Amino acid sequence: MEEQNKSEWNLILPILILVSFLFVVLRMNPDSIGFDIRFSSFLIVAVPLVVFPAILIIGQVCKGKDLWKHQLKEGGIVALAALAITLALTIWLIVEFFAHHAHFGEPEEIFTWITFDLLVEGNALTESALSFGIWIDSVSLTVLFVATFLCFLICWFAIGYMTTDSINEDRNHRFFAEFLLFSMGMFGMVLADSFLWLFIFWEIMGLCSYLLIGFYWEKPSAAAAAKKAFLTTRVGDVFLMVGLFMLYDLYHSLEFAVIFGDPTLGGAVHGADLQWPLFFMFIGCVGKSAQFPLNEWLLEAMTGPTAVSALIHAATMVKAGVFLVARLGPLFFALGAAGIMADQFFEIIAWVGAITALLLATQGMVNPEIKKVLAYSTGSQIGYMMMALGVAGLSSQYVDGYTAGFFHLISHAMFKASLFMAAGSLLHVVGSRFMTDMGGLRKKMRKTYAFMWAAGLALMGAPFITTGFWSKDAIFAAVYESGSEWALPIFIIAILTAVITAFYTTRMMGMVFFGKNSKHVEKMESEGHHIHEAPKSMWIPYGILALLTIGIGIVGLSAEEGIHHLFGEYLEHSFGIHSEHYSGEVSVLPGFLSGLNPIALGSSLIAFATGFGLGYIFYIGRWVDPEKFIKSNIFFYALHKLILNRWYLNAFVYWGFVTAPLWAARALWRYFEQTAIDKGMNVGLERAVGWGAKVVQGSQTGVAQSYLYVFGAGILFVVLILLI
Amino acid sequence: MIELTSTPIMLMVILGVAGMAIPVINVIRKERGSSTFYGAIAFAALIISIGFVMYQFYSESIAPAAIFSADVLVDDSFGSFFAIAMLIVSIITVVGSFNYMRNRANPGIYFSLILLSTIGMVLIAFSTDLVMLFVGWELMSIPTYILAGFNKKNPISNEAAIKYFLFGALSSAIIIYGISLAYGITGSTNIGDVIQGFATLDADMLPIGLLAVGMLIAGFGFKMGLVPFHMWLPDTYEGSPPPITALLAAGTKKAGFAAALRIIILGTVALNLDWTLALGVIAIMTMTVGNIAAIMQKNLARMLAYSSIGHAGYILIGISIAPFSGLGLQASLFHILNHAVMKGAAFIAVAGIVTALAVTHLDKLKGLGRKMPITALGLVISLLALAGVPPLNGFWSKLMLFGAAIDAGSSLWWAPWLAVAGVLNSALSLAYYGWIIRKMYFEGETEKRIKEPASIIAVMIFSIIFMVTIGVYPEPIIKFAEMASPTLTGVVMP
Amino acid sequence: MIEPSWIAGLGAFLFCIGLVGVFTRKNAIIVLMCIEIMLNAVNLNFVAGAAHYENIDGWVYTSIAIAIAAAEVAVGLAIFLALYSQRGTISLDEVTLLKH
Repeated sequence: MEEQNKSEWNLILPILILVSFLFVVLRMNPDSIGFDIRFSSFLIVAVPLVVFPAILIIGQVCKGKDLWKHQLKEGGIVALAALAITLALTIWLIVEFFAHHAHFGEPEEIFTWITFDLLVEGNALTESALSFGIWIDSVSLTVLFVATFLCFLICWFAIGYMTTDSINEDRNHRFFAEFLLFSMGMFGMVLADSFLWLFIFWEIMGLCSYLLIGFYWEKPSAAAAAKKAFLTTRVGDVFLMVGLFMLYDLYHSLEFAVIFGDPTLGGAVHGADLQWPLFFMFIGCVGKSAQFPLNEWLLEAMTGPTAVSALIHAATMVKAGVFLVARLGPLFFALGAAGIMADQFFEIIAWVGAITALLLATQGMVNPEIKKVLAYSTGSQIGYMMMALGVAGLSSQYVDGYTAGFFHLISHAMFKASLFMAAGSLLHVVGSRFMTDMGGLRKKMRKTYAFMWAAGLALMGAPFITTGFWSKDAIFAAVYESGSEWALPIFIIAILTAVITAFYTTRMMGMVFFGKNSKHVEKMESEGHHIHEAPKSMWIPYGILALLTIGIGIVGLSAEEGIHHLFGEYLEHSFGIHSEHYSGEVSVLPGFLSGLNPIALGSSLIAFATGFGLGYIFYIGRWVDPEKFIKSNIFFYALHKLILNRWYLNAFVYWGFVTAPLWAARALWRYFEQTAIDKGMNVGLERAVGWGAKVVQGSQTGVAQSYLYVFGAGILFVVLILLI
Repeated sequence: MIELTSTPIMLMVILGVAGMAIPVINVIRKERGSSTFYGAIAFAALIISIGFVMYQFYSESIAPAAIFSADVLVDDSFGSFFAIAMLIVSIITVVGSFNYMRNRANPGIYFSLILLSTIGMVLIAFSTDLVMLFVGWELMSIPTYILAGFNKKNPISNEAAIKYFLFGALSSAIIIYGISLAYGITGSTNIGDVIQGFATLDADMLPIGLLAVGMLIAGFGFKMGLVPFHMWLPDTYEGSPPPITALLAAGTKKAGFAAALRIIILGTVALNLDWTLALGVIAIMTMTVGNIAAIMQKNLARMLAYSSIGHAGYILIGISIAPFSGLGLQASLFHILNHAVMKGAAFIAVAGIVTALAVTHLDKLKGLGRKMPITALGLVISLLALAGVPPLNGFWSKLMLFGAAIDAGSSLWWAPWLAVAGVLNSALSLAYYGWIIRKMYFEGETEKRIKEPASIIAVMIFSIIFMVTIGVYPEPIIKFAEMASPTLTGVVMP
Repeated sequence: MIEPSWIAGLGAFLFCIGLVGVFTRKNAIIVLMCIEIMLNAVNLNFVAGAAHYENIDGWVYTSIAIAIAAAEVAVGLAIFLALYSQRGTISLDEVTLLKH
């Protein structure tokens, strides 16, 4: 019964906090309190920043105390409250945005960090300041809303998940503190008004990713995975930094107001100049979003707690790369529209996205662990987003691809987070992360089963009722209509990936919920641990998300129209990118679908059917045994092995980044360092400095007279210099 | 006539009353008071003073840095900047001395002398008259002569005091001689009048004017620790009681810079001399000598003394390019404040180590990181800040100094070399700082933790917070330094 | 009539004597005396200035300088006393514990 009570608290408390805060915020009259946009957006970043060290310190001090442990769930409730506040503020911001459009798109400076007066030629002083400001427009609000909403829900889930697992006892405060720090990083990155601050928060997120993946630091696999994640994204970040330097060199500022305000800087900057900086920055995005070829880390990051995987590696951090591309894309496109750009930037983005989508989807087909399947799926879907954003630049209608990418970002965040949290429940209940250890769970875990189907259908792009369908369809349409020479190959890859996506999703559902109970489950049952539904505090968050995906799916078309309109306006306002609206074309489709591209629509339906059908055959209906199928044909067998080993990409990367440099370093050490540096510089420099020191020290004889002599010599010296 | 409630007068009153009262109380109690009692009185007086300065500052009643004034003292932001710096140093010294003076003789006199010396430092910062400056200078120095030799029974302390005294007396004589020459030439000792007098000098009086300025540079250079006037510094810093070394290194040295800023620059500018090159050369020599000599040191206090010489060189970089770069002067002021806290903290850490373990030889510092964790942490952070490691405050001031030097390269061909020398010397300084850090943390077996005195802990925590906070958000101090720096750009020679 | 410049010249002469004395003498008290000579030279300068400009400032400065010099000497002698009681010598050649 106590368990029940605690679970009730878990439910009621966050809802109460959210509702009351929302109530207060929306009722407030902004003018009277001075609670303006600046302040509230500042709070969104400041609240987690202040709360996370508090949790850390209090957790350390109050470890094990009852109030902290049970009532506050070791800081979980505190974190949840902070995130509820940020969510409420975001909602308020959105309301304000729709009410007063005019304020937005302008930077609001929060405070000045450093001001340097730099002397430029001719004794003129120019002030250059590094200041932190807020930049809010539709892009940032969209991503901010996704981020705050998901952070809130996943924190809710995490409270239940982390505190009911005994190996986490007494260290959850670290988890929640790092969770909050990460949230702050995400919110700050989205709201930043200059590339500098974007980068700073980007790095904070990378740090938290490292900390959270390696949360179970006593497991060597976790520590290694954390290191790998950090280092791989670091490679991307180095390129990002170089890109930022180059950008600064061009614009002499990293602020959005300067760069977006006049991208050509009055004719000084050409599209060709921007190519390399933006390309390097894109490599940073590749790293962060686990695109090919920096995709290996995402997989191994699954050793962290599932809540972490849900938050960081499905919903927010990996979207950061997409966010940056979304920020950069219009810039480049605007320059292009002015007649001075090259297509290659967008082609690269589109191809990287396409390759990643296909590559990772294939790997998801064969993996036996549920979280890894979802991880591959994430990478693959982000590939779709990149594809969309890239293709947007290749077509004349920039806004189509842009909208598609963003819509998919939103919907993917929701259903993927839902899937991950559900997977967390499964892990929690079954105690194993292998799908082969599960099976036949649909009778016992009805709610999870239902929600996973909802989210899974969204992932597959089940027609008309899930948001996944509309967003994927939008991407297909954008690709098809881009009119670029690469459109057709990318389109084919996209369709193929959709087939595989549907397949592996169905496979996942089949392996987990259908069929007989696995041996593992039977063993558990015999020992008395019964399979049961997850506690309320765990299934409610992903239930909400799953229902949302269906809900948005039902109004999908108008949602898409709305987003289309919103971004069209944004691009127009900020970059002068025009979008034309379809003007009364006759469409082959029935009335309410008339805005869609028929080929895209047809292809997505076919893809869904094919994939689902294949999956059903193998895993749900179990008409064909997958094992036998693989072994039946040497081609399939080889392919399976290749894919299972992740296309040997990992080995390749390891060789390139670890083995080869180590070998080179050793050679260098032996032939260069030991001789030239060690003998030459170290010994030589040491002797020189030692000699110098002896000379100087020797002058300090201890005899006061000699000191005074030197003093006198000094006076003479000074006077002489002045005379000359 | 300067107001009675202005900063310098009020500070003089507060500190003077406390400083005079302590010996009286001492006599009344027949020398039975403990160091904590007298220290508390001194601490209270200092806190009131710094509160007063802060209050003046926040109530916006401080004028920007003034150069000319008809009065003897002027209440401007330059003075307030230095007053705050000096008061912080004095507070650090006083708090650090609570424990040091616990079992030693004459604690009352000790604290009283610190207070009186502080008055002198403050007066130097606020003065606009040469003789007032000199009076402040002497008021600052004479108590420190006594304080340097406070351990009467320790021959090393005696020797430190005598060397310091002889040098100090000599340079005082030289300063006052320079002042008298300036008076003789221009007929007044008000700084503004002196500058104007120098500007309209007869040609045959010029050598005497030069001589006057040269004397002043030599005299102030002694306190600042510039090469070649630095010879006394290592011995004195090594031999004095460590809290007093903190006062000397962080307080009196900065007062020397304050005096120099008020006088030398303006005087020599008016005399149309190419003194920037001279100061630049001195700066490079100072940095180099300081850092090279520090490398082979085995005594912690001596090593820090040489490091102080090096840092005086860095500060001088900014001053030497001052007519061409307002940023340089700002950076120097910023570094003055930073260095005051960093070095003060370092020497108070040494005080703690000396009191607890009675060792200053580097080899005996092994394992200090575990024996006295907070003191070691304070020492490490102050060393890293001195080396200029971000995100500590030393990084920002060094960045500004070197940046200003490079920027001034457009007007002065040799200015970037200052930056080069500065950077190389900073790298060199990391060598010996790193040595200390290694000895403290990475060598020695795990030692048992000993109880660190509360006053030392307090100073360490304060300085760590200061250094890290300013390191992360230096903007307020930079703005303060900007307000405090007298505008010299525009007063350039033809 | 004695020109002020002569007084100043005498002051300069005394200053140099004092300076040389400071550099060359071994006995700490003698060094202190030489410093006093220098300070007296300064006083002469101030007097010369006062005579030249015919205002009272110079005399005021002279008084100040004398007072400060006296204070300094008092302190210095106290330090010498402490040194002597510890080391038994005030010869600067032998006070060399701190070096390098």
